Amino acid sequence: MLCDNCHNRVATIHLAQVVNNSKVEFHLCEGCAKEKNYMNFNGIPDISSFFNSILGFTAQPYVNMPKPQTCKSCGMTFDNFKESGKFGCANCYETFADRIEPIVRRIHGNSAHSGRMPRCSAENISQSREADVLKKELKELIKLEKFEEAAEIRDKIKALEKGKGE
Amino acid sequence: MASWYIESGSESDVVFSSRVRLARNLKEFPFPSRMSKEQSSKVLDRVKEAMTNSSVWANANFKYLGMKEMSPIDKYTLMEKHIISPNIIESKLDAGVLVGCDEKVSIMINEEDHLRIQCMSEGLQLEKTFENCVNIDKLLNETIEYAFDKKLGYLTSCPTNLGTGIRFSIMLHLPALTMTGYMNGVLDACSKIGIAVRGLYGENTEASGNMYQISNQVTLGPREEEIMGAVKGISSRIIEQERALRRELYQKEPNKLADRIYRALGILESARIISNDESMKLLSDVRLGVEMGIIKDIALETINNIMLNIQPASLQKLVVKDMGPNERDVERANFVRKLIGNKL
Repeated sequence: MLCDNCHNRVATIHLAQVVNNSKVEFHLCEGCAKEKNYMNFNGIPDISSFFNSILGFTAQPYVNMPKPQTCKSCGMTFDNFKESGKFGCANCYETFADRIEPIVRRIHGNSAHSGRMPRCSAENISQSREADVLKKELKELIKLEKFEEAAEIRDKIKALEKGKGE
Repeated sequence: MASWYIESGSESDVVFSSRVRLARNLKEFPFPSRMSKEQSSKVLDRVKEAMTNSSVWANANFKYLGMKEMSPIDKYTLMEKHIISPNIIESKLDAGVLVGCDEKVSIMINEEDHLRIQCMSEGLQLEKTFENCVNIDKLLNETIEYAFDKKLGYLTSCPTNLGTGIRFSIMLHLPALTMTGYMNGVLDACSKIGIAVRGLYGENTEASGNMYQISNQVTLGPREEEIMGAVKGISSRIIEQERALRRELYQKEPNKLADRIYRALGILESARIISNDESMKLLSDVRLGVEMGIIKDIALETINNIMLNIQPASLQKLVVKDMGPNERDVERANFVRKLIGNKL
């Protein structure tokens, strides 16, 4: 069997990952496996790469690997995260936001934080949470053509958002 | 004053202890895994300052224990008491722990996250323990700004702790479920609903002495109180099942169960050499006897005391001499005999 990556040498490393309940296999030669970091120095498949499958990364990215992105604050790359399972700083969550989202969804389900908040953010956020609820209500009321009540809600939202800016 | 790991609390026939921990990070520093030594000592100073300037410091008599300054034996003794994690012992950074005098509160600094606020209680009392944890959290937040995101909540080094950063754990003694093989079913059911079951010393440890930790896996989405409700709900189901099985085992073959319990007691009362594993196993049987009222003249506190002090580092600290494993097995047997012979 030829290597899936270079299609040149014989594949001696065989890897299987289960992604969303379907098994994806790939076969690499030693050279490509080393290059793709699937091996450590002793030629033994590197176990840390298998954590990728636990965190649910798809198995084909080595062909179209996105350019390595680096966190400006701490210098962390997404590959670093894939190896260790830990982020380097609070800003990593912004830097890698797109790629973090599916991971967070897999661990915690499709949800946003609703628990306690730190002191300084608490007031602002609870106001914007309140505004979010009101906005939903507003939409409903407009749908039902209850315009008088809708106007009241609209004023409440305005007041909340004005308060936040002050 | 006896500590939470010696005292027995509510539902103590099955529940050993309750624990709540919060993961927090300081906004302006990288997480410990990417922190320089200088940054780690700044974080340490900031947290120590925040605590020492507060009134809680005086009330709870917190003391600071630095990992650098402590002997390995002292560090492992704290680990055996669940006050620090194995992780922080290995840390290359300036790391340490602030411990309250009754050891019910501990704040690990520069573990996986900058802060791990932990509150512990004997028996089943999550509400009170949670309240203690929240108070410490609020207090630190008066002078420290946390890393926080509106959608993701408290930002943590590992995404498994995002959101509330909270972990509720209840430590349960489940000999009947284990003995009958039903524990595997419990493990299966728990994993399906986002509840983790671990051994005595947390992640990747075995359930030594039939002790299991039940805790939440999901930290983002539900509110803290909802998570607490889920952990409590599952635990009470498990507690009920354990009790029902114990009753059944006793009703079916009272002599068989009593025989097992008294044989265990006999060995503990007479052994001259005993390993940690064997003693934990036998102590679980004796504990079951005490919990079911079959053994009446040994207190649960005595069993707790033995369980803690026969661990390698604690035993070494108690005997105050360097020992190899063989010598330790002899000293362990001596200690167990002395305590278990001390009837009420």
